[in-house]
Amino acid sequence: MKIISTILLIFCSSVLWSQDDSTGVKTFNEVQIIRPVIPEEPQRFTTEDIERLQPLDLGSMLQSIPSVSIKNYGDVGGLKTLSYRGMGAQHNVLMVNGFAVANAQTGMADYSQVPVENVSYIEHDVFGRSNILPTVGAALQGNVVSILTKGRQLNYTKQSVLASYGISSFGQHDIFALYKRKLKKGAFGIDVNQRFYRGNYTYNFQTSGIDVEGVRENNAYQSSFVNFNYIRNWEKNYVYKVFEVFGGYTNIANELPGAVLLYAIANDEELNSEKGYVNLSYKSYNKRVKAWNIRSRSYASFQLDKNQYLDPTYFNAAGFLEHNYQNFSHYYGHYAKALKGDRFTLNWGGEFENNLLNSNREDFATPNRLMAKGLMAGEVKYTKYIVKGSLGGRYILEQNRGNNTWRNPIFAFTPEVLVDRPFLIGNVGAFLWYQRSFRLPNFNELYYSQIGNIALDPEKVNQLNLGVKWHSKNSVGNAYGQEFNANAFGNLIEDKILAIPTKNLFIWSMQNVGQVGSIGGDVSYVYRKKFRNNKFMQLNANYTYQRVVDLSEKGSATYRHQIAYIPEHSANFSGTFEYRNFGMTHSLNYIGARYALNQNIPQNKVAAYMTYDINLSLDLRGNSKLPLRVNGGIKNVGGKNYQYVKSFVLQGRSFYLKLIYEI
Amino acid sequence: MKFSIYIVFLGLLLLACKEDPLPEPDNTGGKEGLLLLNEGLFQQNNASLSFIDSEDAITNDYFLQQNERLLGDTGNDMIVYGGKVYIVVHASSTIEVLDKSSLKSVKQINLQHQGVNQLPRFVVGHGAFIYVSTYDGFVNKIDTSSFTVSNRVAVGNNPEGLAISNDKIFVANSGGLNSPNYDSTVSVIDLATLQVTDEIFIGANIGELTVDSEGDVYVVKRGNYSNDPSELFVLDAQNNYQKSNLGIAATSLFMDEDDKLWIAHLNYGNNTSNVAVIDAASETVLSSNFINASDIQSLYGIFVDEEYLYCMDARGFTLTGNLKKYNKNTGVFVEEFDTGLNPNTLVKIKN
Repeated sequence: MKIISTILLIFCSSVLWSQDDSTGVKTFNEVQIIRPVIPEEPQRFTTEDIERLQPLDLGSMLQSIPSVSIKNYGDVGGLKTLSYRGMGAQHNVLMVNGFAVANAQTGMADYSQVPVENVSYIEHDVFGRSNILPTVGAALQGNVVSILTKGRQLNYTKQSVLASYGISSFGQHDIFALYKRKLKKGAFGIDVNQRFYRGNYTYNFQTSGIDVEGVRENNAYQSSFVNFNYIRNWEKNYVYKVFEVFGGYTNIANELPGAVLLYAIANDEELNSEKGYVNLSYKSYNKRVKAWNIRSRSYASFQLDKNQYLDPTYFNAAGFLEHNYQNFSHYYGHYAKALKGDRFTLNWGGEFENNLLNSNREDFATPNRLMAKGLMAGEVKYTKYIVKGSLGGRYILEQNRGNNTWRNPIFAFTPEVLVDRPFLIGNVGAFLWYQRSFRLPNFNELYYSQIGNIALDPEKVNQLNLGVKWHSKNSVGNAYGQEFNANAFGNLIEDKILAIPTKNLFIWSMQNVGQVGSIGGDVSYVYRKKFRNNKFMQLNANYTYQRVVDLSEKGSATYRHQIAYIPEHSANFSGTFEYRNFGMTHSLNYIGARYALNQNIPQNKVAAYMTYDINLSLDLRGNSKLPLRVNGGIKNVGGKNYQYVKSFVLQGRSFYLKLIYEI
Repeated sequence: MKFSIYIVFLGLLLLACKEDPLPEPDNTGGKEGLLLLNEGLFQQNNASLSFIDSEDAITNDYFLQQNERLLGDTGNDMIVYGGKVYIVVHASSTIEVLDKSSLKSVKQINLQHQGVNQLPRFVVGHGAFIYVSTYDGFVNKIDTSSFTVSNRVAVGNNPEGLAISNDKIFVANSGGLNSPNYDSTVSVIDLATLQVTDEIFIGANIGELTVDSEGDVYVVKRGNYSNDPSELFVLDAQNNYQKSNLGIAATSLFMDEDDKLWIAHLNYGNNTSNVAVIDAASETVLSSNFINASDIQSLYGIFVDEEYLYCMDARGFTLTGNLKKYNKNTGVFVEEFDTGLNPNTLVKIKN
């Protein structure tokens, strides 16, 4: 009983909404207690994890998560999209500081455009167990990649400065500066980030057993990010309140290297984008209420994206192609959580979202999407079980303002059930989870010239997961000890949206085609140990098997064939060793063979690859007056050009050096 | 213990990488047979050749086997002319020249102008030259000895099919990259002066051309794939190339040695395929439905030799293709071959 109480106490603390800038790490210095087994916990990366691995961008960091495939078209600035267990890139949502990033035109996040210099925490939450309170829209979508920025962390010193400069092979320079100041009732922070990349690199890879050499050109990339945040917190009449405002501006000029085409010279397309956003949040918590502790959050977000696609040598009548798109999204919502003791939790919320797209194209629609979203969820802790259920709904109206036509309204539910048994046997916990969710067709799929199909239905997915987790008895918080996770899953995607050539080889169109099924499992292991004399070691390893197959039509040439670009096998390993002020991390990323098309024949096979990185760090803060840290390392030590997507050849070995100044 | 875990994982991951072996070269040069161009898919570098010998044995990836390199990206057209085979590789912007006897590459012509890929589409031979349409709006005259471009003639937007009649080149201007504002004309180039002497209005999005023994030019108008349908026109050589509509839908054409025009049509609306036959001399329809095409998923090209009709099936464009062989006189199915991706052009190799 004593143990159970302790477990529940800690468990409750981990789900407090007010902990939303926590990493889930609780350090208890005085009392050694067994932390609960929460088998469905999100995959998490702390600031230290990010510093140890020194990823190129958020996409590079996420590729080490079990069951996640990052479809990588390039290095710096190259499109990186996330697929989880064979679900497409539009089944996940990126959330920054608790706000979902919206882009109804593509419906997906490009994880290459999120630098990690300003990121203090990353997590991937599939089972709705994040400490970060999501927007209602993100909670309904599920499969949330969430990051917290350094600027947004509450600052307990009067002021602090963080500045870094990094230089890497292929003409890459990264400059970052952050200033934070504690105010009388709150905090203020501002950060700037500049990235330059010249990018052209030689390659040598094999395709169909033939060595191909060349230079991948048109890679130059330049980005500027400015973000600010203001947090005000105060207490009045026992009500604790927090008001937050985040804003920012991004400007990216991106050459598009495209695929390596045999015998052809370089591409010359460009993509220029600008983004501005303002996010507002107001939270309150009445400390006096005992029966039901209600915490609520009201929020609003305004996001404007401008994208310009340029092809200066396009063979149309004008002699060039310039497409301009402007996406404006805004949403408003309210989310509340009520806790009664440590046994009952209720969540509810509503959100309204509006997406508008304009472009300079005569043959593109001007859509206006209106969405109303609602969510109810409850959680009961009963004897040794925790049972959670939720039901969300979305009602969507969509108008083409150009010809004032409306698509048929969509009304769809998202049910979710989770049964958790924290201590099934000893330190082993287990859970069973089911969710049915869907993703909407994006504006490109609906309206893009010739390709678009306004009759598309949402793509639905049923997900089932059985997971177990074990951790060693000496695990305290997440700091030290061993952990082992294993999951078995089965998914069924219905009305899969795919581009199919329906007119000729160059003119494809979007169609709902049949079903995709997936089964598989993943295992992961973490070992953390702090030795005497300031020695620390951490080992992470995971392996994923996913069989994701076409189930659309029995007897077809692709029936039960693995879906394109989903590797059946993938694995990651990283090992960190730290002694006093020196650290060394080795990381390996293995991606098994994939197919470039859904027909699994040798001609369509894309070879497996493995990358190996070494990262070194030296913390000079203890030995000198300069508050300086130095990171350096080698990415892709083997130097072999590899390709995740056929013909999109990635760079070989690269070196980097980074200086970090922090007071 | 901790370090041993590290080493075990490292070893397992290193063992997991394995390469597929190279195919063995097959020396079938000099043999007679059929050479099939498989277009491949854009950005996949998988255009390929298949060779069917006189004993009806097919060898796929034939270019790779003969030349130990890949053909390139998006093979679009192929002709036998003189002692050579000319293959137009669109996205790679090359013309691959094969020796007809050995079927080995003797030259790769890169078509770039001022540093920009010209994107070739179709090829036709005449005299000591081949003429190649390129998407930059030109017809390129290429010497078959030096393999260099000697002249470039500006035509309409995104030219496609070519045909030669009475010392004139007829050029189909598709304007496909201006969709939905397609080009609608056939340009006529005088071969002696290399000047455009006429522009004949046909209709939106013109594709393939072919010519009969009387010099009449047959023109496929592809339309806009929705409310403007595909149609077949003929330009009468005896009547100053006056245009008339044959009232039949078409996507690709083949004129056989008996002056019969074989017309392949893939209906994109209902995804059905059809083969019709016209007597070119009388312009009468001999058959509007020559074969049972229900087994053909995406009819992408057609070819006829002395005995057989061959239909190239792209099978939805993302699966390995299929070549179906029918009796030329009865339309009865004979046999089929599995090919490369998106077969579109077949030629006969005689040595």
